[in-house]
Amino acid sequence: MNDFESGVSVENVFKQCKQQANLIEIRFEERIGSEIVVVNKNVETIKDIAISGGNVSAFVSGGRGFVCFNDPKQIAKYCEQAIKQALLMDAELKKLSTRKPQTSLNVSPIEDVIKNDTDENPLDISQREKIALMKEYTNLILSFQGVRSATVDYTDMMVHKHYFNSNGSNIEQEITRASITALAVAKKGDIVEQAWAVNTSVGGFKIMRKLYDNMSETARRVVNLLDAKTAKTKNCPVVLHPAFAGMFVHEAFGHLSEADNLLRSKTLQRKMKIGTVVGNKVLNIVDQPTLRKSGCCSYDDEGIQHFRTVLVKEGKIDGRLHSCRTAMQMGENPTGNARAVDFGFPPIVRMSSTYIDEGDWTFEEMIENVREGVYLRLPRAGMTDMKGQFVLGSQESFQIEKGNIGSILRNVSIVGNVFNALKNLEAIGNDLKLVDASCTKDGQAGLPVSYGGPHIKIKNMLVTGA
Amino acid sequence: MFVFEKALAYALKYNSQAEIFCEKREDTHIKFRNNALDFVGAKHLDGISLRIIRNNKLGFSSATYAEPLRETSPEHVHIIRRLVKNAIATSKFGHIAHFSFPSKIRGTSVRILDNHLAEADEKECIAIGEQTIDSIKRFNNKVKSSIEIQKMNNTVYIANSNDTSYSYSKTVMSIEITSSINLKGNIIEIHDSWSSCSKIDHEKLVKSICYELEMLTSLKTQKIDSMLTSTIFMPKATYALLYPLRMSINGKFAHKGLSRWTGKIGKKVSSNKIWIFDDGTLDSAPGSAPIDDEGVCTQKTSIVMQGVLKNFIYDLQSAGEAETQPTGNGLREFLTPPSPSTTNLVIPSGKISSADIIESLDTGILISQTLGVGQASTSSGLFLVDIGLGFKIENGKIVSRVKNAVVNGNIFDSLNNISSLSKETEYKYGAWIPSLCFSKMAVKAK
Repeated sequence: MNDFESGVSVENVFKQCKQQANLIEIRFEERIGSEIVVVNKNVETIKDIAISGGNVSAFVSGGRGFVCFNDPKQIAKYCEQAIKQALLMDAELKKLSTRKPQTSLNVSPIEDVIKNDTDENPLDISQREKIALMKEYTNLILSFQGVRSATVDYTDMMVHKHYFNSNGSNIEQEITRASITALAVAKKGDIVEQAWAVNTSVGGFKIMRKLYDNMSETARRVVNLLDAKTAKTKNCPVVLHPAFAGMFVHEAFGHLSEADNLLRSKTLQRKMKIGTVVGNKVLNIVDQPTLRKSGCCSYDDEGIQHFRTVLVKEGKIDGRLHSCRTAMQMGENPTGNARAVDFGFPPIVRMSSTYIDEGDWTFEEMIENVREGVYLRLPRAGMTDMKGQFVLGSQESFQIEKGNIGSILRNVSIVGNVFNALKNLEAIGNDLKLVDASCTKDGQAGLPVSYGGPHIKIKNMLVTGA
Repeated sequence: MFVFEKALAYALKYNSQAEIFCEKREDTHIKFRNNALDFVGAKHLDGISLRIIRNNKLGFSSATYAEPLRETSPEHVHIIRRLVKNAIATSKFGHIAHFSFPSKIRGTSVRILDNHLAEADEKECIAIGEQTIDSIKRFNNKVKSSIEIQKMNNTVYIANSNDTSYSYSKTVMSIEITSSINLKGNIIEIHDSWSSCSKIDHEKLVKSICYELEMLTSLKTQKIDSMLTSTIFMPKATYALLYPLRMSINGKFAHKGLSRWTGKIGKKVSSNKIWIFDDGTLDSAPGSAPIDDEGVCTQKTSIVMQGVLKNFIYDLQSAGEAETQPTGNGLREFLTPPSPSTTNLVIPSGKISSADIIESLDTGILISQTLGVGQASTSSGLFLVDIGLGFKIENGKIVSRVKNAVVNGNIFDSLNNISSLSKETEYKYGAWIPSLCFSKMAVKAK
């Protein structure tokens, strides 16, 4: 139990309110951490973060209500408000005869306490030491000729969550994450280029001390980009680096596997029906929250235990990601993928660590027969719509010319439809790697996730530059 | 507010200058999916931030708290003491302060509180959503709409060591609509949104959506070849164009040499048809307020006038570093320190209507909405948008719908190719913006 909730009797609240609702969930959350931003050897920002809050979800027949707050002592009042909201919603749905049950599945109550182990707790490292390390990193980036600016943004956060529901579940989880985002900017005349790298640790601070190569690589990349050519817009074979393959599988496919998105579109449900062939037999796609990466946790925010979900098995749709609510609506089992970015939001279906599983090609084999193509290395940003149309941008790409990696290209994007792209996926590499990232969905920005894959080759994609 | 003054006095025991910033948020959030109510939610959040200047360095800390913050409550005394202790700890390594807190906080007169909206509860917000759905269904009962309505009541209190303080309240309502229809086996989605400090005229949004639905049902879809052509971006398709612009006018980035427009004050940066302002004094605009989040009066700042760059936007710190005046643009997210951000970006309207712009074109593309918000590079200005809803113009008329095409370009270059701006403006993505017609843009078929 954390300090925020002490003196609050959740049992009394449930006793008072239980008869009025099918299910009540109460979540308390405490976040303690810091952020340090060093720009060009100077501390630009340094802040200490201490946020506490909670929320109540109430389910009454076809309706649900949600209230979030900072004052736990008013929990009974907020519970009443959430029940009122649920009743309001139930009454509105009755008018349309579209009332669907909102209550939880019959999940046995769970009691557990989880805390992640860290080699060095980032919160125990002094600010002086963190700043000294960030300054070393910015100095290293600035030492590369052509670099105009180096920003290193360090954040650490201990998140303590306590979940209760009126069925008897009581789960405490604590996870500490640290992350460093390095941004290098280079300028030559009117050309301004950026390169960045994100590194996250759920295992402690030690890994944060070992990022010198990563910083050098970021600096080298941004300087090289100053001389990059503009890609011609064309259809051609593309090879995706593991990090870019990860963004591809997360953005273009993963979001379509989230059951709340599926439930919004009958067309998408048809395309993503279990058993549908989406690729060749060597294609396997997995979401695995138990991996010790950025997107990991033991229980989701509905108190459901995380486990590995196979989304595509040997080329066929094999599963999807669920919350309790979507599982009930689709008559399937929950998968423990309901997460909220913080207590201010209700949990929704989110990916955790999503990746394309390994095949047996080498990178060299993939490019050797490519006369003219593009190698996309690091992701910039991506988006998709619910028809599978995607646009994915790269920080750094290269020409492939007659089986060799050629000139560097700037601001390359690939545009297409995921179902066509997966059917054209002709090689899957043997070098699986996951990277840390964050995800924005339905107004909840910055949820820690990871994604990855091995190198993959798609035989025909529209590539654009500008 | 007595307790906040006590918090400030406690901070000043140990520091030469201090500022308390408190924000109280009471939000209502309603969602409809496919014409049915899907979510009803509320937020009750209170946050307090402390900035200090100690030994000429900045320190910052923040915390949430439970109202009412009582001086005598042990846990609240603990919050205040912890706030001060942490701010002092961060100041040891903080940035050198290039400013002092404002000596007297006087706010600009601006209308941002609608009392009727402030009192609107979940039931009223649900009723607005239902009325919107009913209006669209009356037009075409096969259309399914998803609507998100957020109503925010904000109260801000700021006080600093110059014995000055200010408090104001604000309401904001925003509506986002996505209406979808099955057209011969293809699901077409139309998005639109609006936000305002007063109750929104949702019928205006309905009209706009129904107009596009009508166009879609009456026009054939035409494949196009890649081309350089006149391209009109309607306001709701401009996010990817505005994003690099916002970064380029940020005084903090400009001073560090990271803006495309660094060193170009007084120089021509675009066509002389382009004027750009930042205006935090517009009545009912969501970005407006009497003061910014540092107590500096908001104002109308001329950024670009007839294509010539005049100013950047600054907060106190970046203005101090650049040895210029702050522009009332020191804004915060909940519990974060301020940084230069736009209030309401304004690109004033042109002289001719959107209809007349279309009529003036022999050939062109009209982009009504993009897939997502598009992609843009803040440093280079390069952007790429996938045309979600677009139309082909031939001989001054809209002749067909366009799909499977993308548009890319560089916003800084494209601002030199602007041929006209529409008379009509809309409030989208924090900006009042007209439709923008560019004389030459690269449209590429997929």
